[in-house]
Amino acid sequence: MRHVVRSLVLALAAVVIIGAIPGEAVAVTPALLANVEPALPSTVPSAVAVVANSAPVGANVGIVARNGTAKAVDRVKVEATAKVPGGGTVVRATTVKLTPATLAPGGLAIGNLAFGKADLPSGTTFSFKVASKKAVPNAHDIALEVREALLSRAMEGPVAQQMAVTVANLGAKTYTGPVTVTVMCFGEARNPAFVKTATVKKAKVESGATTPVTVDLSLLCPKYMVGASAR
Amino acid sequence: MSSAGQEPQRPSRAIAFTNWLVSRTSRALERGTSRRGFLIGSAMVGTAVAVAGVDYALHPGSAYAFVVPGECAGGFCEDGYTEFCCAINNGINACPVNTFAGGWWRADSSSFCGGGTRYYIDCMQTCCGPSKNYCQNGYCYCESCVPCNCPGGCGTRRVFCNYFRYGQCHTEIPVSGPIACRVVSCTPPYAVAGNACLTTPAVDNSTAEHAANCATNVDPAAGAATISPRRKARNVIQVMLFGTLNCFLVDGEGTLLQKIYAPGAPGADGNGWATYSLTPAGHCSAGTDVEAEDGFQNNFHLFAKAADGQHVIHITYVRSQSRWVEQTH
Repeated sequence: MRHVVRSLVLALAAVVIIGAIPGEAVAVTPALLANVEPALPSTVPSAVAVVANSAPVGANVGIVARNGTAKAVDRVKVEATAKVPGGGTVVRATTVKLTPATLAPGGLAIGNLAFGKADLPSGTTFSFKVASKKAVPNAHDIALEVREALLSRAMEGPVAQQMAVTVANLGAKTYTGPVTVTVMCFGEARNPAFVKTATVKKAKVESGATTPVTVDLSLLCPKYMVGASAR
Repeated sequence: MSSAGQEPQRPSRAIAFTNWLVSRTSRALERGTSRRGFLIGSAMVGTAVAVAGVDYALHPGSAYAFVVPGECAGGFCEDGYTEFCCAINNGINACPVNTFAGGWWRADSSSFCGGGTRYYIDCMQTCCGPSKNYCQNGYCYCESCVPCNCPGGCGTRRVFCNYFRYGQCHTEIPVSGPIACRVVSCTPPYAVAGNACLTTPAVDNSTAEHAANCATNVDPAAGAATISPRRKARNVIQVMLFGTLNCFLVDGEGTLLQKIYAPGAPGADGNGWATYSLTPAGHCSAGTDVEAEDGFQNNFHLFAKAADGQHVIHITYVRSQSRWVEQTH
């Protein structure tokens, strides 16, 4: 009996130790902060793919991308094609950047697609092509993450609601430069409704420190996913 | 809601009766069933009785006539949105009793509004259950007294399920139950006094073409309009529109004004009157008389002398579209 117990203790100690040994360096993958579990397909895609999109608001369409691979990815680029009902008109758009820029396996990112200047009518259908690269960890990586988001009550005037966001620097070095906060807002069915971004032109955030950003929302946003990105 | 410092209201008589009915019916079933069978059976009967009320208790059919989200392989019951009010309110496109307008959103480019903007109002259940200990967007929630369900089966959307509030209407009510149902209109909700809504916008364009599971898609509440124009002063007409007291007059700037008696509503003055412009300034002859007529083509009409003194400004409330239209004759 004593032998068995000793074996168990040794085995447990080995597991703990192995778990504590640092493996190969992994990319820092900031997560989105959310107060909603978005309505997504129940099956995870086998690649990096767009898993949800909003209806157009003007010429803009919000998207949610998911990393269905087993490795972290970055430099995600989404090319979209919009087909207007009836007329056969086709409009294309490409994302500038998704937030966060690096996606952990299974992770989500949000972004906005701007389809030119003309409004897209309801009933427009979309198709997406996604390209990405395997993330290569780098000690100089900049990783910003939203730690807290507070919504104001509904307001009258050009700003419907304000979101006060606290952005943390997860990287190892002080970051100096613009900070962009991207907010995806959802409707009652937990589907994307629209995306809004706000940029602080110059911020200095030391490693592990935070900086405040205020996002002025022109439309109400009771349910959201929010993330931050640099440059 | 304890976190907002306000106690939940007591259940209404109807809800208390429903609770009693569920309790009595479940107890009666318990006598003739196994323990396991009772647990499953009572849950289904509880759902059916609470939704159908007395009818199910007196005429028991299948308790499975009502489904809850998650039970359907597909269909509107699973799309996440709340059903139109006409589906649970005797065909009437208005908030049912024990609910209130809690917020609104718009959907642009809707064929139901001639390619224009369609508006939805969420009817929140008046708080009647215990606190849910959940707040969001500045509002808090209590548990529903009606089970979350899809009243017409998998082909209908859910009711009493979604704890979600945009919050631009009845801002004085900080706590509610879930969304009971939604009212639809081509008229902005803030232009209707009884809704007590702010103009603050919200949008969900994926709902532009949602069709109601009943005849009403954008019409105002059937039978809710009561029109009896009365002249209250030389240039003031008083009318009851949808149960709300309205006055119409032309001001000194030549604007045809609608004044709605809605004490406490956003924008209402100290006497409880909210004022909206039906025409731009200068369209009417300043201070001129207003005439009203109801019934022609089932619409409500206002007439005032135009600013040039030669024409008539004719404002029509188009009931089928819930909007005002200005013409010059």
